[in-house]
Amino acid sequence: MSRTRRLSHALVLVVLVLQGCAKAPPSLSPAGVRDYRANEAVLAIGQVQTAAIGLNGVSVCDPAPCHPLLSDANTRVVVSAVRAALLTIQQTPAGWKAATNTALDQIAAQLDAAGKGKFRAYIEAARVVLNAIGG
Amino acid sequence: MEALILQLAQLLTPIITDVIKHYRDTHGGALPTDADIHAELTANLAKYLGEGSAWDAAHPNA
Repeated sequence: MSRTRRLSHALVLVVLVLQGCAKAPPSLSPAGVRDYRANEAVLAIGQVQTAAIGLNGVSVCDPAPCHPLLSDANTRVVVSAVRAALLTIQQTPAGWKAATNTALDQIAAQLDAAGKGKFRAYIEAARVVLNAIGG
Repeated sequence: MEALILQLAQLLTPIITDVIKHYRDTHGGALPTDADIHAELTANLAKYLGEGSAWDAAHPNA
């Protein structure tokens, strides 16, 4: 099985698990549910950043010279977009959906061709996760 | 390489679902309150903002 197919299968599995577990606990007030959903969005978009930084830390030497799997420029795109989303959520937790969608749109638009090829699966997985949160 | 990519993909695994499970496990099965969830949100915002700032600091010329 190709690397891309295996990666896709892993992501689909993750997404399916997440979709089944997105309900807020019944003990929360409406404000608590809002924060709960915002927290889930923070975790989802935060993991996108963690993945980008992790890929940036992987050095590949084919083709030479050795270089990060995800370039510094592409990683900065992700880190900057995620930071903007996090700061928006910090100020306005109810705005988590617009903030995270905007971040993912910016990342998808600003990555270069190589970055898009390597990071597309993460972006799509995050979109599905965020859509599963509800609210 | 392939293993590393798959490992990174698993970073998207449901840490989300652990919020409630962890709370119940450590609080005798009780469900989290609004204050608990707000504290969790605040901590996670700080965690990921810090992660991004640390990467920026280590890559000033990127």
